[in-house]
Amino acid sequence: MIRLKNGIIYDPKNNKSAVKEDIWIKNEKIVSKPSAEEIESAKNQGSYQEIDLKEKIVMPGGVDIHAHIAGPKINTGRVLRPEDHRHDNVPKKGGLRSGVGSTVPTSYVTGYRYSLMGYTTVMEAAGPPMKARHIHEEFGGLPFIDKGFLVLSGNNYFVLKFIKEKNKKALKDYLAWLINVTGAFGLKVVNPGGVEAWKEGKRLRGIEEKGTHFNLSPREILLALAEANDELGLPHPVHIHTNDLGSPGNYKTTISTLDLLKDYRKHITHIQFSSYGLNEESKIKFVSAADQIAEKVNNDDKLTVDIGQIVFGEVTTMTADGILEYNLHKLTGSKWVNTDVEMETGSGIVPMNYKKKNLINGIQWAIGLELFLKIDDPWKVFLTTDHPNAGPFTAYPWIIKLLMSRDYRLKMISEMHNKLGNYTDIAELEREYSLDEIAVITRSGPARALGLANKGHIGVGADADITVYSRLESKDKIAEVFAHPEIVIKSGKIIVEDGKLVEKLREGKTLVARPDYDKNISEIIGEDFKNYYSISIENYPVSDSYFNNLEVIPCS
Amino acid sequence: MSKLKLILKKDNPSLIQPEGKTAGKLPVEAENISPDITAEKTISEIAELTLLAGRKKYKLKDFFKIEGEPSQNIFIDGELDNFKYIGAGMTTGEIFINGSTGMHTGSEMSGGKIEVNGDTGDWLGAEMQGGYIKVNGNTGNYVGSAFRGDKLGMNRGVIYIKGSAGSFLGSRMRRGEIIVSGSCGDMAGAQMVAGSIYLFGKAGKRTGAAMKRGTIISAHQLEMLPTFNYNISYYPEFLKIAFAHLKNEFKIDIPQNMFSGYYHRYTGDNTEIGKGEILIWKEG
Ligand SMILES: [Zn+2]
Repeated sequence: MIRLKNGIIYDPKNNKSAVKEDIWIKNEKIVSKPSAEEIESAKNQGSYQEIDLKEKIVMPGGVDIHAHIAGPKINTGRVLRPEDHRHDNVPKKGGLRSGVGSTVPTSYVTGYRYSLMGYTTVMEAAGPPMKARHIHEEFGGLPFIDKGFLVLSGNNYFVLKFIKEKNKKALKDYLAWLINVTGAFGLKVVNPGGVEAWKEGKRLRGIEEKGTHFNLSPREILLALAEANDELGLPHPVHIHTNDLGSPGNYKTTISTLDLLKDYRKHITHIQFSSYGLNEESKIKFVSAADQIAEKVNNDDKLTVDIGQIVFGEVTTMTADGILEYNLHKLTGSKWVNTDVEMETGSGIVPMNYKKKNLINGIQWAIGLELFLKIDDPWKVFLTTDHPNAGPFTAYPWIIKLLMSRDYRLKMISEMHNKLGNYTDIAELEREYSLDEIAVITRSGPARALGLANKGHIGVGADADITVYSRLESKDKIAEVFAHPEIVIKSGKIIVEDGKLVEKLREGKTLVARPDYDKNISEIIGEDFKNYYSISIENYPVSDSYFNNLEVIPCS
Repeated sequence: MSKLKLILKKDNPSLIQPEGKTAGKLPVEAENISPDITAEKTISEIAELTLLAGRKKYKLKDFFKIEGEPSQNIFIDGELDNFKYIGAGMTTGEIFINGSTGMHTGSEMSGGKIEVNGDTGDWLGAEMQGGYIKVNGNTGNYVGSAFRGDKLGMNRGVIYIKGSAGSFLGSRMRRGEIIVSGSCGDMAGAQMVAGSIYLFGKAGKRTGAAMKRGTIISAHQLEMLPTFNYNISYYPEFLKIAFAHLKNEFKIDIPQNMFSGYYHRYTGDNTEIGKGEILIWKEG
C-alpha cells in the first residue's frame, strides 16, 4: 500500500487541475482511502509506504499513441544504422541490461528511456501480421512499460479481396481473426491501396484512382475498414496514415479522407505529414495547410489526430508506405531498405536529418506546431513524433516547451530560415499550452482515444501508473522538468526514484483486443493461404507462450 | 620538454598464457592513453587510469612501467598491436609509439600528432577532424575512412604512411590529405566526398569507386573503372604547390620524378556526380 501525499494533481479526465489530494495505491490499482484498520494492518505487515511529494506536479503516466518500438521494421533500422548507436552506449547496471540508444534504441533502452521520461504505455504503430511473433518477442525484452501493436491491414490481400467481393461479413471476421491470431490491439491503415500499387509497380494519387489487381480505390478500402472497425467495436478507432503522405498539396487528400469518413470514428496519425499545401508560384512549391486541416479537426467530433512533430537532427524514417521511402531515398540519396511482406504490406526505411536552417524542414516543423496551436480541443490532438520518423520520442519534453512558451518558439524561429514567415504564421500564434492541456495531449487524450479506460487518469480504479515531476519554477525549466521526472510509478511499483531507474527489470503488460468472429473464416481463407503464403495457416497464429503478461481490453 | 614515458611490461594482463607460454593477446581498449587526459593528471592518477583487456578492467600501471612526468607529450615503448583507440579523440599534444599499434589509433582525433614507429591496425585516423598521423611501417584497412554506417570519413588533418596501406584507404573522406609511400589495397578513395589522396606506390583495384569529388594522385598506372572519363594529359601546376606544402610542412618524401613528366587526368565516378579527379603520372 502506498500513500502519495501533498502532490499537486493534474488529472484532466477527473477534472482535477492543480488539486492537492492524497493518492492511495494498492497492488496495481489506485484505490479510495482505505479504512483505518486496513492501513494499520498494512503497517503491521511492513507493506505500507508513505511518500511526501512536497507540492510537486503529479500526472498519470504518459501514454504514447503512436511510436515504432518493436518488430521487424525497427529492428532492421537498428541494423542499418551502426552509426546511430556508436556514441550512445548504456552499460549494464545492477539488474538492468545493457543496450544502445539514439533514434533506434535497443528494446531495453527503449523501455528505460520511456520510463525515465514518465511514460508508462506505448502503442507500436505498425506491425505486419506475419511478423507479429517478432513484435511479441521484442515486447518480452521491452521492460517496464505497457504496450500493444496495431496490425497493418490497408493493403492486405484478404482485406482487398473481401472488399472487392463486397463480402462485409467475411471482411469483419477476417479482421477480427487477424487481430486475435496476431495478438494485436487495433487496425492500422497505411496508404490504403497505394502500397499494393507500389508493389505492382504503379502509383495511385488521391483516394479515387484505381488500377491495381483488385481495381479498388482507396475510398472503397477506407470506408470498408472504418465501418468494420466500428462494427467490431474495437477499443481504438481505425488508425490511418493517409494516402499521398509527405507530398506537397496532400491536404486535399486528407480532407477528402475526412469527408469520406465523417460518420465513423477515426484517428489520423502524424497528421503534420498530411497537411501540406501546394503553391505553384513559390520556388519551393510548398506551404502550410494547417489552417484547412485544423478547421476540419475542430468540426469533426469523431476524429482524433496525433501530430508527428518534426524535431531537428537525426531521424530514421520507417513506414509500411514503401513508395514514400523510395521517394525519400531518391530525394536524399540516403541508404534505403525496401521490403515486400508477401500478401500483406510493404515497408521501407531511410535515415534522414532534419535541418533547422532548411526552409522545407522549417515549414514542416511549423506545420506541426501550427496544428497543435490551431486545434482548439486538446482532447483531439496528441503529442507524437512518429518516433523515430520525425524525431526520437526523447524529444517530447522540448516539444512541450515549444507548446508552453511562445518565447521559446520565437527563439527557435530566430535561428531558422529567414523566409520561414512567408510560408507559415507560426510566429504570430500567441497560444501557450497550460499544464492541464499538456496532461491531456500526453496522457489523458491518447488513453481515451485508445479506449484504455484505466489509463490516462488517477481516479479510483485506474492503473497505478503515475509520474511525479519537479515543481515548474520557471518557463526555462520546462524541458528539464518533463525530461527527468523525479518519481515514476508503474502498476503500483516505483520504477523511477530520484530521477533514476530502479536497478531491477520489471515486465509491463501486453495490451490486446479480442473481437469475436465466426471461426469458419479460417476455412474461407484456407485455400488462398495454402496457395500463396510462405507459411501454413496452422503456424500463423502467435501462440500463447509469447504472452507473459496479457491484458485484454474489451470491445464494446 | 617534459615527457611521459610508458614502457610496456613483458608480463601484462592482456597476454593469454596457458601453461606459462603466450598463446595470444586479448584486445585492450586504451582510449585513456591520450595527451588530453595525461596532461591533466598526476603520475599516481595516470597509473590508475582504466584500460579494458577483454571484458575486465585494469589499470594503466598493470600494463606499463611509468616514467617521466605528466605531460602532453607521451612516449610509448612496446609492441601494442592489440591496443585499440590509442590517441582516439585527442585534441592536442603528441604521442610517439616505438612499436606497432592496433585498431582505431588516432580515430576521431582533432589535433596534435601521433607517430608510430611500426605498423598499425585498421581504422587508423578514421573520422579524424584534424591533426597529423605518421606511420613509419604499414597500416591496415580503412585508413581515414568513415566508421560503419557513417556518411563521412576524415574531415581535415594529414595521414602519412611510409609503408603500405590496406584496402578502403580514405573511403568516404570529406577533407584532408592521405599520403602513402608504399602500395595500397583495393578501393582506395572509395565513395570519397572531397580531400586528396597521394599514392606513390602501386594501388589495387577500383581506385576511386563511387567517389563524388576529391583528388587521387597516383605515381603508377591504375586499372581505371569504366565509369571514369579520360580528359587530358598535362602537368597540373597546383601539384607543385601541394608537393612543396607536404615536403616543407610535414617532411614528406615526394618521388623526384613526379615534379616533371605529365599526368593523365580522369574524372568520375559517373555513377555518382562525377566531380572527382584521378591524376596518373606518366614519364614525359
Ligand atoms: Zn508511424
